[in-house]
This record gives sequence, C-alpha cells and structure tokens, in this order.
Amino acid sequence: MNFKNSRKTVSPDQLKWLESESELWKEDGLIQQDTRDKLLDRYQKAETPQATNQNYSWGNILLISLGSLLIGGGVILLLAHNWESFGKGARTFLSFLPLVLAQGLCWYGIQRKPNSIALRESSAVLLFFAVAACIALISQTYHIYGELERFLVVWLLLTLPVVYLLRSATVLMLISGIILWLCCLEREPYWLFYVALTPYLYKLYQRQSRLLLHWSLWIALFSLTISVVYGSSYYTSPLDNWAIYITLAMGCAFYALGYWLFGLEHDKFWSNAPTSLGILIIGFISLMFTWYGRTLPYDLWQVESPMGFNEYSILTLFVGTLVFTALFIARRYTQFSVSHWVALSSFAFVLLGLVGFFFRFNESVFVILSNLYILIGSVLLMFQGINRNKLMLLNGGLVWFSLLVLFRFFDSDIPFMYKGIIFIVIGSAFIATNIWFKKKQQAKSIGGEA
Amino acid sequence: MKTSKLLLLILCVVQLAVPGYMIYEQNQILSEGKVYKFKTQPIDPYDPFRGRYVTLTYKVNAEPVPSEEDLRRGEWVYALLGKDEAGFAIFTNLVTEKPVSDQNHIKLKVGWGGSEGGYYVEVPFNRYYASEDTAPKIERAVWRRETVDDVYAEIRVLDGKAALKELYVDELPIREFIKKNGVN
Repeated sequence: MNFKNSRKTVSPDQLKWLESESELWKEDGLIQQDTRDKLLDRYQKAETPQATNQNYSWGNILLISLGSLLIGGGVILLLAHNWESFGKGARTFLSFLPLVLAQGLCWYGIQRKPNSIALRESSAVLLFFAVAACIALISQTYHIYGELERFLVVWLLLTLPVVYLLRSATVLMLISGIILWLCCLEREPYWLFYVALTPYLYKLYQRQSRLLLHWSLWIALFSLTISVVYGSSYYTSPLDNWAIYITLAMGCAFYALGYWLFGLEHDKFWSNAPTSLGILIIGFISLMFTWYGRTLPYDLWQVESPMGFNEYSILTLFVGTLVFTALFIARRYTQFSVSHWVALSSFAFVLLGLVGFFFRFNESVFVILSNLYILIGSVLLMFQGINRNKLMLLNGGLVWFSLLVLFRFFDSDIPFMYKGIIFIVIGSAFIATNIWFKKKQQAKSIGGEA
Repeated sequence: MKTSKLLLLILCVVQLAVPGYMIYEQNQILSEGKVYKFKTQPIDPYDPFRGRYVTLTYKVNAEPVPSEEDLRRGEWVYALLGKDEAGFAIFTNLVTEKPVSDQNHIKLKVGWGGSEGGYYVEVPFNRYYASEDTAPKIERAVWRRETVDDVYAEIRVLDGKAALKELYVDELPIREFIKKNGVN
C-alpha cells in the first residue's frame, strides 16, 4: 500500500469522529481491527508533529500576544514622549532599534524555533508595532508631515505580509482592525485591502480554523458595510440616491454568501457571520423602505461631485452582489426553507429600485410593498420559529414585527398615553411569548423522555 | 521554507528602507530646497502615535488662493509660491499641471472655494513636533502675544515638496525663545 499522499492533517474533532465511527464500522463487521488501526494511524501520524510542537494552548498564546501588544504599545508611548534632549542622530537610532530587534526575533523564530507558535505570534505582534513606532518617530524627529490616513496606509502595507510570512493570528486581527479604522476614517474603498487577506482566510476555511475565520469575517464584512454606506450615502455623493439599494443588495449577498460557504443548515448567529450580518442589513433596510421621503433613484449621477475610484468600486461591488445573489437563488431555491425565502425576497426591492429608475414608480409602491413584506415576513418567521422549535427565529420575527409597529406609530400624532400602552403591550407580548415558548419546549422534552 | 525566509528578509529590508527613504527625502529638501517664511499661529494638540505636536495655522490658510481653473474639493494641485512685501510666503495661483519652469511650487490639496472667489487650500506641513513639556510652552509663548506677526515657520521647498525646518518667534528658534523668555 502506498502511503505517500496520505499524511493528512486533521483537527482533533475530526480525529475523534473518525475514532468513534471506525469503532462502529468494526462492530458492524465492515472493517477489521488492523484496518481500523491503520486508518487511525494514517491520520494520527499527520496530527502528531503539530500537536507535540504546540506546547502552548490557545489561551497561553492569547496571553502572550496580549503581553506583546502591551509591550508594543508601551514602546510607542515611550517614543511618542519625544526625547528632545537626545539629538537627531540618537533619536533616529532609537527609532530603528525596536524595528531591528523585532525583525531579529522574527528571524530567530523562523530559523531556530519554526514550530513555536508562541514565539511566532509574539514576535509578529512586536514587529507590527515596531514598524508603527519607527515611522512615527522618524516623522516626529524630522517633522515629516502626513495625515493619519497616510500613516495607517504605510503601516498596513509594511505589515500585511507578516500575516502570510509568520502566519500570525493576532496580526491578522490587528490588520483587520486597521482596515476597519481606515474604512471609518475616509470615504475611500479601503475594504479592497481585504482582497489581500482573502487567500489567508480561504486557507483558514480549508484548515477548518473556524474561530479565527468567523471573527475575521465579522470584522471584514462589517468594515465593508461601513465603508460602502459611508462612501455612498452622503449629501453630495453621486451615489446618494442609490445607497439604500446598494446596501440592501449587499445584505442579500452576505446572506447568500454565508449559506454558500457553510451550508444552508448552518444558521448559528456568531459562527455564520455573513448570513447574520446579511439578516441585520435586510431587516434594517426593509424598515427604511416603509417610510415616505426616501429618495427614489431618479437622478443617477448628481452634479455636486463627479464619479471617482470610490464610486466605481462601490458600483462594481453592487453589480457583483446582484449577480452573486441571483445565481445563488437560481441554483439553490429548491432547498430553501420559509425563512430563506423571507430574507431573500427582499432582493425584489433592489430589482424594483432598478426598474423604478427607468419607469419612475410612485413612492407609494415601495412604501406599501415594504410594509406588507415585513408584516407577512415577520409573521411567517414567528410561525417557523414555533414549528421548528427555534427561539431565535421566533424572537427575530417578533423584533421585526415590533419595530414595524413602533415605526408606523411614530409616523403619526398619537397621544403619549396610547404610545405608552403600545410599548407595554409589545413588551408584555415579548415576555409572554418567550415564557410560553420555553414552557412548550420543556413540555416537549419531558414528553420525549417519558 | 526557503522562499518564506527569503520573503521575510525582503520584507525586513523594505520595512527599514521606507523610513530610511523618508529621512533621505526630508534631508534632501532641507539641504537643497529654497527657503520660504510662512506666517503662522501654533496651537497644541496630540497624536496617539506620534505624540505631542503643535498645529500650525498659516496665514495662507486664511485667504483663498486665486485660480483660473475649475477645481474639485480634495483635488491635488500645484500652488505657485511668491513673496509679499514683508518677505513672507504667499500662494499666487493654483494649477493642475506641474509647472515646468523654475517657478517654485508646493503640491497640496484644494479645500472649499470656486474659480471666482478663489480656493482655500490644505497646507500639508502643519505639524511641529515637540515633547510633552515643550508643546504647551510653545502654545503659551505665542498666545501670550498680542499679535502673531513675528511668528513664522521656515519651510524649505524642492520640486513641489516642502519640509519644515524651524519655527521662529521674534527671529529666534522657538526653543531658544522659550529658554530666553523663561516661558513655563
């Protein structure tokens, strides 16, 4: 038998699964004991080097990274103090010193202790901060001007390869944080930097390093949303009238992306970032449609400011989200449950917006349809939650429904007394439904045990 | 493994080269650039990374600069440099094409304005770094004065780039001025 290509790395969970399953296969007479041993051996061997060299748990590594983070921050603060008395030469030397030391530590880690995750993580974090400290101190010593944006971009460009070369999870999170910072800071498509991180995220996806992948996806998609909304929905933006449709299309695409990546049955809130964020966007934007006064996309390019790189990037993303969502629906619609249909039918509003641009719909069309959509959608979600015994779906439907009622109710001049009563009724409905649902679940489980 | 080591080595070199080039470029402007005096008024803010500094608000910031061209806010342009009667720097015009003659200029961003009334500009060299002790003293030294006519920044200009050399009060470098006048 040729075992040349059989050294496969599997996670402890996968190995555990294989152990229990192979025991069953043996009991069922499908395989012999020696075949089982060979099978397990084949995977164990691949698992061994990683396991033995990983002398630290993730908790340790987290603490070590935190320590490095604090040291890095301390170095920046020490240098920010501005040692005027030292003179330019000494200060220049001092600004390069942490950088060279951090580089040396990284090199030592790779050369001498390639399997020590703790050393790799901590040296990578130190290098990350040493780069910032060096640029900052040089700028300070020589009065080199440049706004925060430029500083962050240079820092990002000089440290992004660290993620790949040192495979550092902490630096990945720090880099994601800087991109998020840039997305909140400027109306530029800084989310494009995430493209550079995509191969790494894909690797995490393949290696089933789900925890890191989920957090990275949350930050990346959150940054993308902020950047697109901030970069398109402001008064003089040429895309201002389209921002609501672009955001909704993005929400639908996120929703589809989550299910495409993790499967339609995977609906845990934290561990399916794209779908969860997609649902939040769809819920929020659909509520915005229920108001009058939202601008219809009649004038495509406003005259105040011309189209730039940011606008073209957002438009390209818009087209991408339209195509992706349409393809996802076309390919998977046979497997959709009611909740999938409820979420993805909001895509119709994007299409309606596009058609409305050419045919000039009356705004009432959007307002009436969106009110109906939320009313029907939320009730369907609540029923689904009850039928499928899922509290999250039930509460999601309830929140959506309640927000619709509250919004409608703020539209008109209703006296405070009635407003108060409605708040009390909605609040009581929430508590009562949740208590009733919990009791129903308990009764079911008792019935099942009996 | 060999490739990743080589790439790490290249990354280290680039990480050292970028700040190295920043120093080289700044030194080149300071040694070869033409001197301009910009009237200014410093105030004292703070940067989480680069520490304490004084923001320099220039007189050229306060007046719109004429331009025959239709410029957009945030657009990069070349501000042509001149001097007023007292010998202080002023911007005479804003153009989008890089001047080919010996005309000294600075590349900067356009702020609000229009081709009729002129444009406000964003002067880039608006930070003078100082220690936590010195920065507030600089601010106090300047704010105590009734006029700020005698406060200016010496800027060197070379090929569209500018570098701040020193901040002067009463023709004295700011630190000397603080020492001499005993500003606390």
